[in-house]
Amino acid sequence: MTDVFVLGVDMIKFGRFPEQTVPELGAKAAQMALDDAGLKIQDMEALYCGNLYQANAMVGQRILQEIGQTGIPVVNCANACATGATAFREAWMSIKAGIYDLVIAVGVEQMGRGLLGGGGGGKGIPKEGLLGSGTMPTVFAEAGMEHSRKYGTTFEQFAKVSVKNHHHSTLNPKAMYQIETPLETVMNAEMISYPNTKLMCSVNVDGSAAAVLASERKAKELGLRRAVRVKASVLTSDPWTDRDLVMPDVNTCTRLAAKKAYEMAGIGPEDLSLVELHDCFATAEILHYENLGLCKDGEAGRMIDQGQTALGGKIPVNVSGGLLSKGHPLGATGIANIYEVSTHLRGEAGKRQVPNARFGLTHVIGLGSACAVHVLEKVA
Amino acid sequence: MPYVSAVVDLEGGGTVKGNLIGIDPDPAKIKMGMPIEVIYKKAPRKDAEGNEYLTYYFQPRS
Repeated sequence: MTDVFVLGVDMIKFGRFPEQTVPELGAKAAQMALDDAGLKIQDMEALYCGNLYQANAMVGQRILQEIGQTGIPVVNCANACATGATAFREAWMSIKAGIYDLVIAVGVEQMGRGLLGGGGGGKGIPKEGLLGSGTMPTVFAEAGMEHSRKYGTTFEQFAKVSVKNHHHSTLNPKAMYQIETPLETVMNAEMISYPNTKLMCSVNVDGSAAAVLASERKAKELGLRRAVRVKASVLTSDPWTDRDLVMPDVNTCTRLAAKKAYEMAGIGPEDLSLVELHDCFATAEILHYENLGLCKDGEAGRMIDQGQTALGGKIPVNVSGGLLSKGHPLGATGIANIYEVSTHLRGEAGKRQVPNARFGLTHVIGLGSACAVHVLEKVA
Repeated sequence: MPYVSAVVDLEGGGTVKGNLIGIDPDPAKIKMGMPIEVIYKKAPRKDAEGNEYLTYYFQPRS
């Protein structure tokens, strides 16, 4: 089967755009990715659109109404926070299968404000707040507390993740927020769900990102100078574990995806130059250091203490600012992190460039659950 | 109002989430593995038709 290459990729600067529509935001990123590839919508053979909140509203088709109704197949994808990566993977798969040579994947979301999760509705009385909390800050607080119980990880260590990622975002013009937050500021911010304070929760923003993918044959024909090779694309759902249905297990789901991704790419975590992982909450990032094999189990606290995951450290994590600071528009995140890694592999990341970037890994996980991991390689 | 959302393993198997009451919502005072008992009380909410509900809570085992 053919190798698949990213020929064009871009994202809009994340922010709040209440006066724009979701298709308008998506169309913007799509056009930017096409321009980046030096191609037109007429050159695309299919469009995969990732959007969660309007999943039944034909967002992909409405994007084509903005940039050119060429009659190509459109698939609208939804997979919680893994929505964008799922759209990207579907695009990848269609080329791998030999069906198409040139495909575009677009991820877009308009978020509104407030907590995610904790649903309600239906008969009876709402359980939220009565039978514990099912909100996302709580789910990830629980996961963090479990890590704390096993390894003694402290509130301060979790908070350091926010300090790091907020600092990184000051170097990223595409990030929603670009504000330094010292440790005391993070720890003294409003407590949402212990140990996650407001500054340890990802920010709800509007955003979009898109990627143009090509078969090897097409990529060679068009030129490989700025191409990025997709070395691995993996998607998993959450395998049953003991408490998974009450306390969603983001660890097993991620470990399964990471293992398959390293196998598919033929590399190990030690070969990675940078990682963009799913820091939906500061506690999550700590867990994923271990889940992605960046360190041994129990070592994540030491990793953040020693600055190993900061820009300039042993394995830079979330130099984009991550979901905590760049923002987390659900449908866009899974392609925005592909943009970040690709930009470093192309040597175009400016002030936040990880030197000599060769392999990068992207990771997203959506509750319910879906975990997607991609490994990208610089084309020599 | 801060409250405590707790995930509890039950003797005999199974895991349930609920509110832990009868304790200060202070992370320093709540320990993993602390013994818990289940009690039942009337829920503080009624549904749209005015029906009352009985619900479970966790509290520290006395």
